Parts: sequence; structure tokens; C-alpha cells
Amino acid sequence: MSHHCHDEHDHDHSGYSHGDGAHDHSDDITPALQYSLYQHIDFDAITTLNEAAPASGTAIVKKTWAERLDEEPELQSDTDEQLLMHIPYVYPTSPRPTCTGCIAPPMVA
Amino acid sequence: MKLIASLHRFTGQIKLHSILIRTSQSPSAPRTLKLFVNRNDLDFSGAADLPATQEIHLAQTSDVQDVPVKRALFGKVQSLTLFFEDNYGDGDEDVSRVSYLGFKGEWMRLGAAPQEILYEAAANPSDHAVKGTSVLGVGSRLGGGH
Repeated sequence: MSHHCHDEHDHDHSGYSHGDGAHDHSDDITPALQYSLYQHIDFDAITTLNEAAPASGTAIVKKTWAERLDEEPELQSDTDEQLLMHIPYVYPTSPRPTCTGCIAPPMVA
Repeated sequence: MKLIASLHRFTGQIKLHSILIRTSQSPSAPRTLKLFVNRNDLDFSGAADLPATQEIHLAQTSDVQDVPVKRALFGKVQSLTLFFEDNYGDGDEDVSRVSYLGFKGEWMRLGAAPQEILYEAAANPSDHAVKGTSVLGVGSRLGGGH
């Protein structure tokens, strides 16, 4: 998957673990996606009903804009054609040392 | 670990502008997508019975679809429920497939503050005794020297 990331960033994405919450994809945000809410999605809290493979619903939301045309991972329904996904949003408070160009939300006194 | 992680997360609130979704040209492409705002309790029967915040008719294409929502209805979103109700198989295709899902909108700082925090202008340490220690005892030992 790392080949989809921008060349100027050489850190490894192949581990691709979001479980610790410290990993982000700020480097994947392109001008076309300046309004992306990617970093505000609470990936750990996403639930998907009737998914054929566990966590495949979460996996397609975790795909970055750069990975949007990848065939895998894919969400498939299981027993019938219906799918139900619940996606909560969070305020990201973890340190973001790799994010040098992003705009922090203004602090409220 | 789960508990610790949750301590560093606060409920967020967004203004949703559009949903980015990639399906396919096959009968497995979802057709009807119903969106519900801030419903944490929906199962399939609830999603089928309740009026959706907005119902979207998805296209049968492998292009990424950028589907705008009615912004007035999605101004204070803490969570979004997506109900893919049917697909282009007209009842003959039991497998729906989605390969990408993204969201565009604005983040709102409002509502991000933790709800159970107590600010004290002049905190009294004796109000916050820690089990196994005595604040006054520590203070007197420090002050008392040897």
C-alpha cells in the first residue's frame, strides 16, 4: 500500500495499523480533498452489520483518498444485500508529529 | 488499552457536505442509501421503519461518486448511520459491494469539550484525597524536615 503514498514521504505505511490512534494520513490529503473528514473519524468505533468479513466496513473507510481505486479491501454484504454502518466522529487529540502543514482547529479559551 | 484510548477522545461534531463512495458497474452496486444523523441505536428493522434524514440514489458506476447532502440537515453530526437498503440486482443479487467510503465537510470545535470536567478557581487539596495518602500528612512531613 505504501506505493500509493506521496514520494516525498518515505515513512512506511505497510504496517497500516490504526489501532493505537497515533497513526495518521495527513500526508495523503490532496487539494481535491481539503475538506476531508478522514482525521475526524473514530475508526475504532465504527460498526457494520451484515458484513461478510469482520471489520471490512471499517477497512474501506480507512482507505485514504490515494487508495480510493484499490479493489481491496472491499466491503461485501453477507446474508442479503443490505448493509448498515455506524460512523462516529471524534476530536483528534493525539500528538501529530508527522503533520507539519495541517491547520489546527483554533483553541477556545 | 481501550479505556485509556477513550480518555483521549472527545465526541466530535461535523458539518457534512458530501459522501464519497465507490461501488461498481455490477448488480452488486448498492442503489438506495439512507442516511441517519446521530442515531446510535439503529438496527436493520429500525433503519427500515424510521424516516431517513436523507435518502440518496446511488449510481451504478465504478467512478468515485461525490454525493452532496442537504447541508441544513447535516450541520451537527456526531455520528452518521448509513443504511444500504438494496442494490442493482433487483432482488437477484444477495451481495452488495462497496470499495471506498469517504466524507467531506467541516470540523466544528464546538462540542468537543469533555462534559464532565470540573474547574475550580481555588482548589482545596483536602477535597481530593487520594486513597492511601494523606495530603495534610505529606505536607506536614515535608514542612517538618527531619
